[in-house]
Amino acid sequence: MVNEIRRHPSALTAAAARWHALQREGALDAAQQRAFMQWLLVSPDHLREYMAISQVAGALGDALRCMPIDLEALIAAPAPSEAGDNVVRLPLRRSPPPVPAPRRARRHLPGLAAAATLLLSLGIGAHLAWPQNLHYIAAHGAPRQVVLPDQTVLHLNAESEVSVRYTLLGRRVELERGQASFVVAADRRPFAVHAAGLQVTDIGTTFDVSLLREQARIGVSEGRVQVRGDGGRGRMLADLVAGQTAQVDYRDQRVRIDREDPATMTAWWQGRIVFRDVPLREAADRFNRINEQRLLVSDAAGALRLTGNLRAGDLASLRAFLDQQPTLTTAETAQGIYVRTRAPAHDGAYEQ
Amino acid sequence: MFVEHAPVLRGFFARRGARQEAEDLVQETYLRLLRAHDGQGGEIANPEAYLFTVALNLAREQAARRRWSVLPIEDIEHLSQGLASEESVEDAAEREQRSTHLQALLATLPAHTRAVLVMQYRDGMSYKQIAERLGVSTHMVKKHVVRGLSVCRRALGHGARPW
Repeated sequence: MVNEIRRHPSALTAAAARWHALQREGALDAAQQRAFMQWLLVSPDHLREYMAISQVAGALGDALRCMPIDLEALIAAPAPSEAGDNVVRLPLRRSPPPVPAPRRARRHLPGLAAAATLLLSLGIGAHLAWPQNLHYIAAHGAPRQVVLPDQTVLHLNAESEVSVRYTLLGRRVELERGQASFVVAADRRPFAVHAAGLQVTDIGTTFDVSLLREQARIGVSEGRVQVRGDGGRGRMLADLVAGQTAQVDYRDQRVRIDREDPATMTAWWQGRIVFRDVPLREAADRFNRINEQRLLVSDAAGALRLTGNLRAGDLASLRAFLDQQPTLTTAETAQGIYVRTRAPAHDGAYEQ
Repeated sequence: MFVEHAPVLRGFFARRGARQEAEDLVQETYLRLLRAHDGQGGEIANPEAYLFTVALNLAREQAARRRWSVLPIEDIEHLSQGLASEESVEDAAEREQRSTHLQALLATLPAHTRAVLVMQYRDGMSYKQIAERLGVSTHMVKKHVVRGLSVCRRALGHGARPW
């Protein structure tokens, strides 16, 4: 678990830098370009970070052109055995070494000391005092449960990823992909989840956020949450109480609010997949997060809305369930389980 | 690519006033990209080029809407007339300060990371050329680039995000 918690540099910055490096290398194939586009579109935060990294790259060019640099000496320097311990001063011939950085640090010191004093007087533990950045990934087939530093319980579904940032003033979680539920611990700092440009603010609660194909879905099983657009700066899209879900369309932020049994929303914590009037395509995505053998759903079959309650890992029951549907048929191949409508001619007709 | 677009991107670390405009630019670019992605049946072959085209167009619109702009648009189009000169001077000072800060940062990086950054961003060499020069794999070159950029981004962008 420790390996998955990357503190520095932040996972988002590193991801943006990796994409930038890949773009500079050139020759990305179509699949990589598609993946890059998808990464950019996960949220405005990704796009912002990518632009910021590009900006830094441009500024580096400017800065390097103004510096006297002995490239040969740098190349000749021994390769570092351990990152960071090979610090060699730049041979600055003309100008004296720049001093602003240390001077700035000194200027901040009284402020830091004051802040530390304030923290102590408020009785807030040192572990809460400074920003904490955490990153969690749950792999395919491996949902997990994590207790965050404030005792909030995070249920992370398989194929899902979150970044967590706790500061003195707030608790912020970014759902980068997949699905996560939060049993939020009481704390004076607000708790907010960001996902696909939406901000979900908790008001003492257990709730679930899921990034679906075309919508983000927020379900509340206890308490109340508010959902806003534009990363929290936009208008309020929904004000949800226990037993309600909101589906927010990525494209136009259209909101659909439904009622749902709170136990259903958290059924996946126990490895069950419960769906009520959900397109088969989305139900299949949930099974595919968990199982080695994939469900491959035709377009027409994927649009069919179904209701069911099944064990996530029990594909035999799932197949039986699908075969019971009068309009569906399944077939097992080496690639996975194909699901389509019974008359193949209909498949085409449905798509029209 | 990134060098040409540097003027558009400069607003990101400006200290005063620029942040809101940069944020508007990000949000609007994001929306347009999303729409283009969903709207076009086919794929966007080069998302990065598309991203910067959209951002550049938006920056131009933004500059046209206001008499002045924190984005030094004259760098892009040589439209130096009619823009508040004070703003440009301030921007130049900020750029200078950032450059000094970056130079100090670079000095703290390992020699090979620095060498890679020089060959990539100053000399415009390909990863393959850099790899041959250093006698390492292109994979290693990429690692140096990622590390160097991340360090600089974090140092420059400190506090820039509205957490």
